[in-house]
Amino acid sequence: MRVLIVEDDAALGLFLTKGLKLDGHEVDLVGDGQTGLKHALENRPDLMVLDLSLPEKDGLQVLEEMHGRFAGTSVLVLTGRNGVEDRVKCLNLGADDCLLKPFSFSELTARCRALVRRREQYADPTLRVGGVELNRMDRRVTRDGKAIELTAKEFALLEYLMQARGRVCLRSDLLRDVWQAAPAAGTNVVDVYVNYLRKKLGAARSELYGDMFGPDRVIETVRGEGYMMAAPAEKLPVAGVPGEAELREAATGGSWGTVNRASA
Amino acid sequence: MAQAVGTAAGAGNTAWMQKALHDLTQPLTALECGLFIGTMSPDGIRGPQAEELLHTILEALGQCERVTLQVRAMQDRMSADS
Repeated sequence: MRVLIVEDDAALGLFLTKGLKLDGHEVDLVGDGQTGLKHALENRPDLMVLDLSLPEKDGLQVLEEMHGRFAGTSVLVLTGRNGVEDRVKCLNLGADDCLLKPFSFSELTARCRALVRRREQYADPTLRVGGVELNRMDRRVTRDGKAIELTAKEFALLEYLMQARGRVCLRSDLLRDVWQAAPAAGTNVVDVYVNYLRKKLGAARSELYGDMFGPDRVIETVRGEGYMMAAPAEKLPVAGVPGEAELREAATGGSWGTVNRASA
Repeated sequence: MAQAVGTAAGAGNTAWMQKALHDLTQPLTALECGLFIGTMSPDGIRGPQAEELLHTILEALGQCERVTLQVRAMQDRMSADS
């Protein structure tokens, strides 16, 4: 499991890092809320262990900014505040569990394991759109089974588009949620990264099928708005034109003749 | 007037105690975690000296737990009073 610890107390952060590593996890440690948020966005850890009293952005602010945007990351809050209201607030902001300081290390690891079990029980880590599969646990992306190497930002963008499958993602939303930039920022970074993604996804498709399917439409441009990912069957059909799914089936040994007849 | 001053002083004490308790929990948690990790020594380290060391760390963990229980009781008391 990939764990991100956001803790400003150097000694505690060090011990938690050591202990969780000994417990078999991949661990990163950061010392303030702003860096924690940035790290979580770029690396999508399975679990964030978040202290409430932090410099830059405190734990509650981090939770507020994460709320609803990090479906794959469980959050365990560490707090020295005994008040019920604080814990209720954390849970309402999306924390999965709260642990009151002082705690024993064995309790911390037991709670981490419980969170992961709960997550594995209810969440399928794989997003699928058409032939593209993205596994959030091992951060692997494939297209029709062919592995594709992505940078952290490309991965985050693809994950966002796939989570919103069938819906248009506005450029301003992508800027805010993937880049944490102001929606009105005058930048074409979204278009540039969508282009990178298209190239990588398209290269995998070309290697498998050549030019058989014509232009790749895995990420659609919605003019004046943004981008959308949807499986071929979810897009509006064009009369007389076989869908990409049918063509793929035919190319991989399916009923090519049927497709020809249907499209005649 | 005197009552208002007394109430303000009481509130000040409570706030001070809450902060002191909060500040105490941080090193206490670090201490407990550090000692616990000391018991998770790699399999290669064995022998009477290692056993003795482990025994000492477990004793220290026991003491740590006593302090933790006291801090918890104080936290509960502060919580009930506020």
